[in-house]
Amino acid sequence: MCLAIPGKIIEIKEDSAVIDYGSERRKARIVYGNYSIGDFAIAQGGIVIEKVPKSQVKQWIKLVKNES
Amino acid sequence: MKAEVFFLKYAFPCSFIIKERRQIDEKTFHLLRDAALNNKAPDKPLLEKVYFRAFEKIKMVSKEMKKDKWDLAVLREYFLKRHNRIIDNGMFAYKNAPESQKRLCKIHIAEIAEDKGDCFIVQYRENNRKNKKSTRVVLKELVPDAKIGDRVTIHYGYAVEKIS
Repeated sequence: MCLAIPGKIIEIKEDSAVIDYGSERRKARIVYGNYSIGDFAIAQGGIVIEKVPKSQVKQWIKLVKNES
Repeated sequence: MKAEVFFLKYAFPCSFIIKERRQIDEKTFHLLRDAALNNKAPDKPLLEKVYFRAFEKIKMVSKEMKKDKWDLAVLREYFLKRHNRIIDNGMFAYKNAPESQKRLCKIHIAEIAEDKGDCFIVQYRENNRKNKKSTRVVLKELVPDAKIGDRVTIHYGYAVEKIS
């Protein structure tokens, strides 16, 4: 499935990316866009949907984790 | 379409954030996903509880329109018009939201350019990029019968509704 926070792409094999979320790693498919190892991305339903600039990662995590 | 079904199609793409915040458990998440995919109508009180943030804003729109918050006209006005304006104006929790999240959170009308089996590549125009089309990938499971060339609304990683 998907996590609502950006994860770091640590491996890409063909269209399959391994995304590291710190506490766990998940696989997601790259269907569109150029992604490289080290990029941060949001995945939903097993698909990488959007790149997140590194400068926005902390803000994302803060918003998702802290806002209740 | 029943108001609950319409509401859930538009709200479901946000559910992964609500799950991450532990405001719903796996079981409720899967119940909502099953309902969204199969046009089932969950109980209104459940939807109002899970998506309480959306209802804060829907209540505001319903007061202005002098109609019930579950009136389809109110829900349409909220999701298709007010929602993006609220984000652009940095109201509520959007005040501190990163740009990339606000982009995904906005609801756009997009045209399906490619069918990739379980997802679509869509093109759409964003307010601040009038001259250039944006492209992204969205899951097609909420609108499985949509085809290349069709216009659909998109929210986060989902195509939500076919627009005629």
